[in-house]
Amino acid sequence: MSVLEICQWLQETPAGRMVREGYWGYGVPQIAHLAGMALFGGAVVVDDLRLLGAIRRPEFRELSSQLVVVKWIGFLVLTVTGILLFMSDATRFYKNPSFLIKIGLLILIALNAWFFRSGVYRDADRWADGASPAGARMAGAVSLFLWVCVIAASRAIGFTLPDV
Amino acid sequence: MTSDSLLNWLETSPLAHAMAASVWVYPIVETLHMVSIVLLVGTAAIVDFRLLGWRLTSMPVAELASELAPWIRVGIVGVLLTGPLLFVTDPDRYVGNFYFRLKMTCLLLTIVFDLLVGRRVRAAGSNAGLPEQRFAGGVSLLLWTGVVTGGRGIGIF
Repeated sequence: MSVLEICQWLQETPAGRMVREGYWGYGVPQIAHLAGMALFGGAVVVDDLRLLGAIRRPEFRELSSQLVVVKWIGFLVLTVTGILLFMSDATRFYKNPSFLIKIGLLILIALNAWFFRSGVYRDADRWADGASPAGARMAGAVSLFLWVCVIAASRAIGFTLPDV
Repeated sequence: MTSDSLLNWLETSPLAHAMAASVWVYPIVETLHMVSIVLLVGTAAIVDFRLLGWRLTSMPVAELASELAPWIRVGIVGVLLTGPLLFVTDPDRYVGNFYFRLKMTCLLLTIVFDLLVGRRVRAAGSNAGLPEQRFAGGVSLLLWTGVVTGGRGIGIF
């Protein structure tokens, strides 16, 4: 089965049809996707700003762990609605350069977070109260930059859909 | 000046021409609008979660609010700079759009509610989950949901 065939199958599933053809079927996932972005993006940005020292309190571990639930809820909403929106027009999305760039950026974001959590964050109790070390500030700056790029790529999807 | 001629003037203003100067301007302004919304609504929601007594309860409300306030302000400046630029590209369409009206109504209510209630509640006590704190956080979250729903709805319905 080729990628194209999988995409063709996805968009003809009941869920794919519902989102493509429904009035609310399309609007509700779109609105929820943006709300999820505000929740997830907002919590991540606050974490990043704390790493950069632009926010001073509470200490990073406390802030970050308190926001974990917010991030998970946002992430869940983004993933479910994102998959539904992809399914609705899969054959056009998978050839859309902006969409592919967005997915690539999301992978980079995950890698950046993983490097941070498995690296400099392990010593977080040593820099909790003072300024973050260079590695932590770098992780925060990279994350902020990538998120702005993700939003740019997301907005561009609608402008770069191939005609089918 | 009637509202029709005002809209007409906006549509032909230098600002509207600048927005049409390149195919890149509109998506770039839209992206900046979205980044500002995430910053504004995301940080405001975190303060609301604190008011509800759900998250970051180890920190006094006033302290958390003042830590996040500069970034909420950056978000506000961002949406106020980019929103009108998007509006002038097609004022007639926006004014007549139900979701645009919903968004603006909720935004206006958010501002009024914040000035009349939110500000005072945040500055007052530091105890988690006081009834008035929960009320202020809940109303604020509801209104932000209205702003987001309306905002996304403009281009869809």
